[in-house]
Amino acid sequence: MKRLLAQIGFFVLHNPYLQNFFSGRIYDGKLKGFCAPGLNCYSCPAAAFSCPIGSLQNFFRGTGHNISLFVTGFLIAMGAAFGRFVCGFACPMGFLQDLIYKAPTPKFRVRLRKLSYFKYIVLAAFVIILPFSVRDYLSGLGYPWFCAYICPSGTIFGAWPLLAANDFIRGMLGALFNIKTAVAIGLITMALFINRFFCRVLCPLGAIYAMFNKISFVRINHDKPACANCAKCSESCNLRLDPVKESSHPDCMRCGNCVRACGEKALKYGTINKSN
Amino acid sequence: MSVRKRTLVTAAVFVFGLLLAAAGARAGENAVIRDKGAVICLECIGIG
Repeated sequence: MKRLLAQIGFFVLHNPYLQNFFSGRIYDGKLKGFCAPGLNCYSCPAAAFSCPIGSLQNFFRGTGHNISLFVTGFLIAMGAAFGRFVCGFACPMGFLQDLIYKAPTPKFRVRLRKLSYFKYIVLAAFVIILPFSVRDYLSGLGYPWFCAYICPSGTIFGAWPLLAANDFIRGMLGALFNIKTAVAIGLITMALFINRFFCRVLCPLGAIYAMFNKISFVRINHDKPACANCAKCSESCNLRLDPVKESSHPDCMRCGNCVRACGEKALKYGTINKSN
Repeated sequence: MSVRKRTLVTAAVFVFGLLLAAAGARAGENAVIRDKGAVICLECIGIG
């Protein structure tokens, strides 16, 4: 319940201009100069902040200097402090998938071992290499490959509300919108059956935070003497991780299912200590 | 590695990130994305 409240709170923090969903306008004030911690589309009518991946990609595809110190530094600091705790508690796209996963459908609790490495390829190829290297001959600008072809956040939180409320934008939507809608519907369908499929396989922001999970300040600690080795924690994990051995696994989003499942209170949220 | 060393590593990475972001801000960087002059990412919503 606490996590749900935190997710609702962070959703509203990312998207405080909720009235824009009805007016079809996009907030364009000064806060857009700052990044949000989670994956939340820049073009979402209610969004107050920039999407860190969209912003990072925008520098790589631009004609000026290609590495943003501001966005890169922000992601490094967030990663070092929280790691994938952001995914579990603060990300609006993750929150949406958690809500979808609550639907009464058959659940496939699979580990996705090799598939989970694909998000690093998405980060390298679709956010960095392609936007940087494939450029328009006339303008010199690259193309935002991740935002255009993969990111479901733009479709769900941006395009669909604008489609409903803004006649001008509705008239401009074309083939790319159809592709994005197909991708978003595919990912929503996957989210019904597999917990956080997008976060685990495709999300470049998750890939960045995953690299910091082993050193992040906030983490889940395992108290060995208190542990009864009952395996309730691993049974509760939707990602099929073993929290006793893998509490800092790159895919662990610190959702806390294992913490709640542990009757001995051997797993706890905490900071760096002897147990990890 | 001891708790102290690991905490120092994490703190060093965190401070490095903050310094990098501060350097970017000092150089005039921000996170705004502009498309044809407007504060919007057109491709994000399927236009382009």
